[in-house]
Amino acid sequence: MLIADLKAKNKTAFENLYDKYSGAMFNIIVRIVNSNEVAEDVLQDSFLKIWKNIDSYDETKATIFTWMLNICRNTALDALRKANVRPSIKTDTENVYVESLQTVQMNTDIIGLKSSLKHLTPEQNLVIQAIYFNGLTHEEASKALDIPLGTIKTRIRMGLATLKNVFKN
Amino acid sequence: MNINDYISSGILEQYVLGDISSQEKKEVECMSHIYPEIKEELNKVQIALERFALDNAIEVPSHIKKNIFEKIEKEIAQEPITPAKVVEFNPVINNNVIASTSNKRYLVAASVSLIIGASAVYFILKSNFNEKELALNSKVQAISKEKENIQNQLALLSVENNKPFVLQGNAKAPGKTMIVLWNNKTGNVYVNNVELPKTPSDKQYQLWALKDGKPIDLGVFNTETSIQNMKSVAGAQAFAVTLEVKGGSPTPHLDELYGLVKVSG
Repeated sequence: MLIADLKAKNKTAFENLYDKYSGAMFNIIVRIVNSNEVAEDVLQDSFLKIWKNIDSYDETKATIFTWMLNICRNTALDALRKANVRPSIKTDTENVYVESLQTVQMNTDIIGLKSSLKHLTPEQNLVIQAIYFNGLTHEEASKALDIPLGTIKTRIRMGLATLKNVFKN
Repeated sequence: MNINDYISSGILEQYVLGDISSQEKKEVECMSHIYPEIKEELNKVQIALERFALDNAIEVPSHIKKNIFEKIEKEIAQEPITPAKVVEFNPVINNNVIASTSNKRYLVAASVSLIIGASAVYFILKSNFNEKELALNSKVQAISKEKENIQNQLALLSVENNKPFVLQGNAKAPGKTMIVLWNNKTGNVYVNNVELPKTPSDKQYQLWALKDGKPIDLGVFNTETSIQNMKSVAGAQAFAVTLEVKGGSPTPHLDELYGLVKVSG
């Protein structure tokens, strides 16, 4: 995929980009907003933002995936904020997190563990999913899962190290 | 700066996951710009997460793609095709030649000052940026030097029989200290964390061991925090520091004594 084509607003290039990444982004968005209907809107908005703002993408700073991931995640979190689904971190929000984390576990049960997830320990898996898919910050995940922040960071690192090795081959 | 420590701090993962303050974000971008190892690691993390995400992709309802591309088509169609502007050529015929020259002069002067102004802004911005980068670089270097020094100290302290003595400055250097590290088996001597006042350029501090009331020259040293290796000595009973001419003296000038520490145990 040529970034130059994307920057030149070549429609075919953008279509290729959509075909390659929309499924991955959709999964991440669904897990953040916890609703297929909202997720569809968010995905649409995100890809329109990507199309409009491709000029501001800087190849030297991040891969196109990371850049898109940030747009999708922020759009999803914005949608949540607008819908007031996740109020600011205060007293009863823990329930919200725990609930959404249980949904994560359920979802993975339903769709069956994907190949790359099998390589992770259940602990690593839960933490990575909470942050990566549910859009929680490290601090929020630490509160929601009642795990010290340091442990959260270690699990993410170990998990990603495992993934790096898995994908090396 | 130990690059591995930076990499293993987990900040690169946080960067890719987007869970990072804008200050840290800039730091990561700067560090990966300076250190190729960090850039490579950052790249690996991004690729791993990308593969992870692609591996866990789910099907998107097809009408979404249709919607998106319809909107994009619309946008492309709406983008006004701005027709080339036809600028009418209206030569102003000015009969007043003197006025015309002064107008020209004014225009030339205006454009010159515009160019000067623009380049000044450019250079100010650029030098400001360079200064910041330089400052950051030197900070990184200072921290890495400090860390290396601490590691060296730890290494020296873990050597068997190496024993540190804190030498307190006397009235000439009140409240100042330095560390003398001595091994009573091998005789090795080091000084470290020298906080004594800066010396004039023609003078240097000199370390002495005292044995049976006699001073033994252990060499000169500088005021700096890093470890300095001195001459070896056996059976020292005390260590003393005097200020001497640059390069050292054969015997200590006791009126220039800066501090003394007795060897205990």
